[in-house]
Amino acid sequence: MIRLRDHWFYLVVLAGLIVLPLFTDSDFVTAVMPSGLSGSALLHVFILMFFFAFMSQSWNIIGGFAGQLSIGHAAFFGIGAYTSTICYIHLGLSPWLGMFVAAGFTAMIGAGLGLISFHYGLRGPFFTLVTVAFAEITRLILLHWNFVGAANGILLPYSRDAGFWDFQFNGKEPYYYIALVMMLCSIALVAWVARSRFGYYLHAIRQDEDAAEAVGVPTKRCKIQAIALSAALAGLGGTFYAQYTQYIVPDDMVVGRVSVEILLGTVIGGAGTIMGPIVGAFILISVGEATRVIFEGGGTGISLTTLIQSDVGLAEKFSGYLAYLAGGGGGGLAVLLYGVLLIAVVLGMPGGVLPWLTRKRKSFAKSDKKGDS
Amino acid sequence: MYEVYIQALISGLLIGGVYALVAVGLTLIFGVMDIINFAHGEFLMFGMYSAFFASALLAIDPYFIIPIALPVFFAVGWLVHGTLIRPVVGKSHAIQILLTLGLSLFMQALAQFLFSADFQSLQLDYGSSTFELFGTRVSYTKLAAFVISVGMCGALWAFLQGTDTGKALRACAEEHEGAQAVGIDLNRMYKVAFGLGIACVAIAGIAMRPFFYVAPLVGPKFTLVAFVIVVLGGLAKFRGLLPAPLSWVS
Repeated sequence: MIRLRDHWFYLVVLAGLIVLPLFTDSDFVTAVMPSGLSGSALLHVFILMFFFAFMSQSWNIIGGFAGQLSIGHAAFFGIGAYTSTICYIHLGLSPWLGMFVAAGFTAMIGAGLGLISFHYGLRGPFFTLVTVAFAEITRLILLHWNFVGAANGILLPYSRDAGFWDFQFNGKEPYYYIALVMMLCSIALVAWVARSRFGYYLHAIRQDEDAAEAVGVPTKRCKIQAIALSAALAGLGGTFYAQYTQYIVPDDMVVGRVSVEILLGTVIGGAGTIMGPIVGAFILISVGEATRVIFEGGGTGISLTTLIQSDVGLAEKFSGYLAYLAGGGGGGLAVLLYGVLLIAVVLGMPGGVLPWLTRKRKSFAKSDKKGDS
Repeated sequence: MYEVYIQALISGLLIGGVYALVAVGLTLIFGVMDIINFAHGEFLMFGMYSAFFASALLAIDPYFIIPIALPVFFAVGWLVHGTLIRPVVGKSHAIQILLTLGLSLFMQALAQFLFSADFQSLQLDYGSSTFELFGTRVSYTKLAAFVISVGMCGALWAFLQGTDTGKALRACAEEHEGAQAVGIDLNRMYKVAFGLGIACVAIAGIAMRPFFYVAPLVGPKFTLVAFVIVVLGGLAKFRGLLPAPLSWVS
């Protein structure tokens, strides 16, 4: 039994998130938040946050609990998005059902990938390389397959009278609640995994696969189940993304950058913990939005190419370049900070922010007790 | 009809030589340090940018900055090892991969910040000139890239075979503890290996610069190619590397 008393912090946050859309247009929010971050723009940030948390949570099962580093989750994400979208366009299947078709399909592909990799006993970095290769193959197939729009991708048909069953809404509020519910479901699923026999098996595999095998853990089966479950969740996320953005294209979805972004939240928040991915996604989106607000997205309108080709001396070019950098350069500062965060977490707090905070709190509690006695 | 194949074979062979140099850098780092460098392509990207700015701003032919770039990128590798890689040597592969992934993300974003996301390509007077060989056209810049790369690979091979440091590096690749037992300073060897690996890939970037565009996101493509070559040739086996890129292109 989960004792609610232990989780009051999360419950307060959840209550706040449930009522948040009522207040995003209020004078208070407009006054407190920086300009451009109220109303539907603020909702968009939260939708991104929930979505990131959901995707990170999906990666958490294979990468965190099972300890099998995948850098190819963008492939499951992309296949999920394409599957439900094709079902919707060609078969008229509602994306609400299509997302489960997508989840089933990505689970099968994930299981197949796991079957091949683990059958040949691939471990550690070699499994990672297989996932990288798998994502690249998926990207190339989608990029050259005319039936799915090839490099142009698919623009989802927009209709004014789209209803609930089309998974198309006018405002951002419905997407907000859908993303919130999806995130909550992923937390519940991972919490269940963490407490189940399956979760303990995965934990054992992560600690020492040979030892786990020796005491009778069906390591191969567990790893395949983990990757299938993880891929299924990523497929669901793909459908949500397709319906939310209404546009899917291989070069935006099935690229290394997306695979890395999916694992970033988990690794920074705490891989193999239940709330780690959520905390990580919150940190990442906050950092991203903060840099966007501070540097206004970067870019001053000066084009570097024009500057280089301009007919002035080197010294003038250099001062022009400094002005260009001071104005945010070519942008990309948010990703720069993501990289710094990832390096800092790997070097400074291996295991992630959340376990680190928990340890800090425990050591504080200990020193408090010592002070009392 | 068969000219097409000869054409493909020749240009594949020439590019393959450059890819071999990229892969040699990756193998050197993996072989000696047991670290898979996911930021490998990003160092190549910075090498390409160095050649681009040398010719666009200082009007120096990209090939002439190789003697300067070699020690500079060696020093960069040395520094990156000292600050970032050293703490994770001997840790789990997952930690190492995540660290180099973070580094690659950082370097991509840094390049975007410094050089903008625009694609930069370099127009040289001789950039598109070719000569005829067996009835096919061969580009001079590709031939130059091939010669430079194979020359670098050869120099590296001679270094590994002939010098004490090179022999010590090979000893590290064979057996860490054994190397340590006979008095090889492992940490120093790691620095040398990382510096050399980075220098190799950066030179490959410079050599490729005259016929390949550069953009902040150009790196992962080459990291992937290097992985494929290295896996085909066998990780940590220097000798397997030269034939491998040839099988990759054909």
